[in-house]
Formats: sequence, structure tokens, C-alpha cells
Amino acid sequence: MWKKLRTHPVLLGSLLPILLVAVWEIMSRAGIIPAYQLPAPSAILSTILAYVQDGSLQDHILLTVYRLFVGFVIGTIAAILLGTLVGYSELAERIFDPLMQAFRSIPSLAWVPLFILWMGIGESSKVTLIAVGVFFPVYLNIVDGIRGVDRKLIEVGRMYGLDGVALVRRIILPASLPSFLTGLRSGLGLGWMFVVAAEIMGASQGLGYLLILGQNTYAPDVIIASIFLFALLGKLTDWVLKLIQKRSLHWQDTALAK
Amino acid sequence: MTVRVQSLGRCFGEKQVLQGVDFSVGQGEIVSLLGTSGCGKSTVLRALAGLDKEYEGSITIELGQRIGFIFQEPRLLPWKTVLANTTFGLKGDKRLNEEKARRYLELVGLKEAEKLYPRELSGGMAQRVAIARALVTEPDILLLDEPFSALDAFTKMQLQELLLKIWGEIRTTIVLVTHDIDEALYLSDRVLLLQGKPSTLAKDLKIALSRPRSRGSASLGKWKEDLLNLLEGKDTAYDYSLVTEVGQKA
Repeated sequence: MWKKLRTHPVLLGSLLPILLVAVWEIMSRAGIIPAYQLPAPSAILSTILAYVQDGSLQDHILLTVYRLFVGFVIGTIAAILLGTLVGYSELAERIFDPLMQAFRSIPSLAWVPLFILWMGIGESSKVTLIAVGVFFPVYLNIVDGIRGVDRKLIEVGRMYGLDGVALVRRIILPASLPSFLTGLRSGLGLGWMFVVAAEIMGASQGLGYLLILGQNTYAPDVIIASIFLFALLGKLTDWVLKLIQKRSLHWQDTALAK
Repeated sequence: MTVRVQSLGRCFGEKQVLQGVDFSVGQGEIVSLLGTSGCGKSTVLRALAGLDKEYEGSITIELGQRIGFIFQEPRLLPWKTVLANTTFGLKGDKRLNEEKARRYLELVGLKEAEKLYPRELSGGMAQRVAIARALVTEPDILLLDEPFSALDAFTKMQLQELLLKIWGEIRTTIVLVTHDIDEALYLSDRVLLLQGKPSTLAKDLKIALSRPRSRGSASLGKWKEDLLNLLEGKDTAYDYSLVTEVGQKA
């Protein structure tokens, strides 16, 4: 029994969370933790179920995921284009990189007031903010990845007559794929952070809106429910990327690959 | 002459590494560039391959000669299978290329390994794939940069035999860089000795021994002794009865 517990990857890791939730439930029911500050797990679960039943939770989730997705795609495409150029061409690096580094040192949330001023509190300011958040980690990882491509492999390409676009396509891009995927994953993480920020700054729907709703209506169960859903969705999307990473990098000779 | 090198030199920064190297290589010849490490022998080869364009002097390669290059390390693309690595240098129809690649994989003894990824190969296997990748493009001139130096003695011998077998079949011109005297003597028609600071071509020696050569033979042993003495700068020990010099540039 103990041996099975120790070797099973999920069992051992879920022991502590289960224990904590149980203690939390018991203490809430016993009235040791006041419900207006931290409601019991069962209460939070029934809040989630109530939202599911009236159909509004699905809409909140869909809108949040949609915003994230659009921002993520826009940020990633911009990062791929600029990152490939800067990584490959020294001239482009000297022109663009100082500016990029300067922009990077601005905490992305500082853009919020400006984006609202420019675009109002509609969808475009939200998506822009998310795209900016996603852009930098992806950009930096692409540039790093391309710079880090083994000169020896590039020589192999040149020995077989490759240059320019063919060299990028057949050697540089596949060789920098691991770094690119790492960038995508950290970009996605930041994307989730910024979707919360974007929805807090003014939305009438979405999981971030639920957070504010909970705050304004003194409903900690709603707040915790949306925090939980953010965690769940964040983990889920990261898992999808991790799966893609594992599939496309199965050739890697690393401890992780085996 | 297939390859002609005239007063080849190369500077790295302020430092002149190579100076006034002249030699030529005939069709189907096996020529070794021998020297201690850092003597610039790889520099000569990289200049021949067109990987390094900042040399002085001139290199003339007969028109239409295709060049194949085998590096010191296999340098396989880790994201491609053995088969895909082998077809890397080929253009055109994929199926025909793969068929061709399979023939060369069979030649290097890796018929069964075509679906493996480079991380699943041993050093010797990976270098065999690299050899197949270079051969499949049917080069007229094969340049090898210390191709077996990272391998164990037995694998090294196997691959040397393989190289001679391939040479016997397709008679490619081979230029080989090595620091291994035994290897140079076992394989080559001529040994070019690079020496000095900056390096110059100290000797151009014809190894007038028939093939197959026996690794343990007395004549190879004598040759080795002579070459060692030459490398140490003892010109006096040079035994002219065993050596036919093509051009001496000491």
C-alpha cells in the first residue's frame, strides 16, 4: 500500500491538497473560520454549480478564453516575425533590439491607462494588453533560440548549399523550436495574468469580471470560485502546450525526453 | 589535377597561422594532411570546402567537381531520423532519394537503423550516418576533417576499412585531415606534413606501398618512425630508401 502510494505519480502529490481541503471544510462547518471571509469548499462548489446551471459560467469562461486566445495569437505572430528577423540579421538586431529592451523594461500593466485612453474599455484594449504581455517572452525566447543554434549545424546546411530562407527553414527554425515552445509556455502564463488584469479594469463578462463582482457583492465564494477556475484553465492550457512540446521535441536528447 | 592550392595562407587576427602552402591533388588520390593540433590543417580543409573564405592565395578546383565534407563530429540534425539525415543533401523526388539513401545506409552497415533518431545512436553509428550523408550526394571530392578521432580504436579501424572500400568502389578523390600517423600511413597515397609557426608545408611524401596494407607491417613501422622524427624536427633520421619525395619544401 505504502509502496504503491510512493511510486504512483498522482497519489502522493494529491495527499496534501486533499488533507488541506478536508481540514478547511471541517473548520468552516465548525464555525472556526467565518463564512463571510472564507466559505467552505462545499459552498464554493455549489456556487460554481449554480453558475453552471443558469448557463452564465460557460459564457464567462468562453469570453475569457476567447480574449486570451486572440491576444495570445496576435502577440505570438508579432513575436515570431520580429524575433526571427532580429535573431537572424545582425542589422535588424542593432536597429530593433535596443528599442525592444527599452519597451520590455516597462511593466506591462503600466500600459493599462494608456490603452484605455486610446481604445476605451472595450475588447480591443483588453486584447492589446494581453498581446503585449504575450509578446515579450515569446520574442525573447525566439531571439535566444535562433542565436543559440549550433554554428556547426549551420555549417552542415551551408555545406549542402543552403542559405537565406532555406537555411532558416531547414536548420534554424527546427533547431530553435525548443526555445520557441518554452517561450510560448511562459507567454501563455503571462497571458493568463493579463487577462485577469484586463477584465478587472472593466468588463461586464468574463472570469475577471466575476472576481470584481464577488468583491463588490461581498461574496468570497464567487471570488474563490473564479480564482479556482483561473487556476484550472491555466493548468489545462499549459498542459495542452506541454503535450505539443513533448510531441514535437521527442527527438531531444535530454533527461526529460525519456 | 583535381585540386590545386597555391600559396595558401590564413591569419586569425594578428596571428599568421598558415603561410605559403602549395600542393595539388590528383583524381582519385588519397591525400592526408598531417600535423600537430593547432597547425592549421583543418584551416586548409575548410578553405577547400568553401566554409572559410578569408584565406590568402588561391584554390582551384576543377569545374563541376562536387564536394562532400565529413566533420570531426557527426553533426546530424537531431530532429531528423537517420534516413532523413541521410537524404538531407539531396534535392528532388523524395521516394527516389530515400531509396538511394537506403543503399548508402546499407553500405555503411546501418540498414536497420533508418528510423532511429541521432540520440539513439552510438558515436560510431552516428559517424557512419554522417559518412552516408556525404556519400549519397555522390561527391567527386571527399573532404574529411579528423573524421575518426573521437572513436575508439576498433570502430576507428572499421571505419577506415569502410572508407577504403568506398574509395575502391567509386574512386573519389579524398583529402583527409588527421593527427594520427597510423591513420595517415594506412590510408594515404601521399602525406602532407604541416609544420612550423606559422605552419608551412614541410614535406610532401609519397607513400609508395601497395594496398591492402598490413597495419603491423615493418615498412609501416619504419615509416611511422620517420614521420615521428620529422614531426620532432629531426630531419637527419629521414630514411630515403623508404620515401619517394614528390616535392620538398622544408
